Amino acid sequence: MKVAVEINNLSKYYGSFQALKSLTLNIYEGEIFGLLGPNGAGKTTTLLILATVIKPSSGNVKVMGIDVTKEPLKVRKNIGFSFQEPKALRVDTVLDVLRWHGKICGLRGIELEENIRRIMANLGLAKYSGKMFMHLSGGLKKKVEVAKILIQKPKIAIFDEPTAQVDVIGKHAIWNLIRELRDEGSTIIIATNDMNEAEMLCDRIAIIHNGVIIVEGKPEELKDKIPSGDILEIELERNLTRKEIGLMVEKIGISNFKATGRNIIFYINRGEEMLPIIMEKMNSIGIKIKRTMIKEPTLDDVFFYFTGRTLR
Amino acid sequence: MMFSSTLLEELYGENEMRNILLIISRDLSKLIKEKFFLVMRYISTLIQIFVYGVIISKIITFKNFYNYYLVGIYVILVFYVALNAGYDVLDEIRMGMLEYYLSLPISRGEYIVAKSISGGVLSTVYSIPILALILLLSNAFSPLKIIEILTLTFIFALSMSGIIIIISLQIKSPNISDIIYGVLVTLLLKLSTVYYPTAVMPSFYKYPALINPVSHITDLLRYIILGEGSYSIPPEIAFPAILFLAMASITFTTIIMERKVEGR
Ligand SMILES: Nc1ncnc2c1ncn2[C@@H]1O[C@H](COP(=O)(O)OP(=O)(O)OP(=O)(O)O)[C@@H](O)[C@H]1O
Ligand SMILES: [Mg+2]
Repeated sequence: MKVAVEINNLSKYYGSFQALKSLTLNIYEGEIFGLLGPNGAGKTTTLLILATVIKPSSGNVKVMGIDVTKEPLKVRKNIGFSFQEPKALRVDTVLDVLRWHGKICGLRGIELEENIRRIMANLGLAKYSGKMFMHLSGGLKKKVEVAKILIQKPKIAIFDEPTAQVDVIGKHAIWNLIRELRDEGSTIIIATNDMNEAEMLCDRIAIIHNGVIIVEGKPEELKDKIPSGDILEIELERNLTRKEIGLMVEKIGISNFKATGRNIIFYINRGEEMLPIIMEKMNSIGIKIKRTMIKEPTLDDVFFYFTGRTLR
Repeated sequence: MMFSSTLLEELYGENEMRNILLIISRDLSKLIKEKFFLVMRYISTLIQIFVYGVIISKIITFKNFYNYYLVGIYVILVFYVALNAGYDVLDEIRMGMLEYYLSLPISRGEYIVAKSISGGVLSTVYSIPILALILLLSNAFSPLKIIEILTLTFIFALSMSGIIIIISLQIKSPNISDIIYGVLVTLLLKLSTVYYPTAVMPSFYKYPALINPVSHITDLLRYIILGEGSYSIPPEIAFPAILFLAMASITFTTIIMERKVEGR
């Protein structure tokens, strides 16, 4: 596999605030790569550096082997960037926005018009083509922003939260078009805080939190990183005291768990067999259980396992 | 148009020139669509020509003062349209468009040169009807003069847009830029020869007026339209000064854009 984007020890400061902390990451040609993380994690910052819109404070970033600080223009000729906040001039119609973007990216004539027509049709934008961009709803603006890059078909297509605010049908349409773009040979990089999107769309994922990459790999591999096979979620009647938690560990003998508020999550094998035993033991030390659930790990659980936080 | 496309092509190559033209044409169509500013500027210019100018030339009986004043009014119009075009960059920063431009396959230099040229072209095109009116009123209508004047107008407007772009990119905060912009406009217009020759100015006005580019362009146009004896600054000084300012402005904006500006 050829490397499309190579990030080495990348740090970024905004003033004295460090938004990225020595990030190292490879993205390969022809994959859909997802940066998954909560608000403020540093997703947009990372993508903007790849796109040469902002400069790294330190570290090395190469896109298609080209250094982003040394030859930014060459880098930009290979990329397309769909912004988190849709961009357009106040006076532009939807068609103006798309056509101008296509032209500045070097598309011409029939090819450009055909790309525009096809993508607008696929995203249900055709009937808005003459409408002023600024009069569109949030979800429609987002679709136009994404459409720009789908029309452009850059070697490296970057989408910052491509389906935020978009309805379910629209989400699927966008995912399909992004997959098509990959199948035509583009490398895709997306940022998202939507687990479902990451799982449905991405070939590989990196979880980013507070400017640090916590884990990366295929969605399946990430789930395998949770050491035991099953996840047992228990909701209690009330919060536990520190002492009760100690007692519980002693009694049950499972140390691989996380407790937040009234919720306790055990990472265990043979969940079905263990559940009645755990319930009985908790009862015996006077901890009242409200609800229990056994499930296969999801990306949510991966995120929780590594950060102690949930994304939802 | 007043700028030569072959010259641009030599400087930038075919692709780059196409990009620059795409940005300029977008700005032009934007200005045409945002009619409000233009209509207000035309109205205020016409009031100055036909009401204020007529009254003031009844009071000041200095020879030919009305024609002298008309050239000043034309320059003020060009000045405001150019500043407005330069100011557009600030508006783009405000609307997050700068990020977008910085992600496109165009160089930062191209973007900023395009924006400055846009300012020059917009101001020139927009001022043509008023120029025609002023030449008619001054009895000085000639194709050669028109070409000379439009060329100078373009060069001057390009510099003014460039200067506002530099300020906008350096400061970035819309509020502070607004204040600086206000002060700059007042100083440049007040301390210049747009309204009066330096001969009738108090001396603490005179020296700033002599080095002010607004004076240079005004007096250069007076030389072309009204002939000898109508200017405070001789064309041998005013013309090189205008050229120098244009080159300095393009150079500085490009350097600042390439070296310092971040999209966020
Ligand atoms: N211009 C700036 N000045 C100061 N701090 C900034 C600036 N831009 C971003 N930050 C900070 O950097 C951190 C990372 O921001 P970034 O936009 O990359 O996050 P994100 O992962 O894209 O979040 P979201 O999901 O909300 O889009 C945040 O804490 C943010 O407040
Ligand atoms: Mg973001």
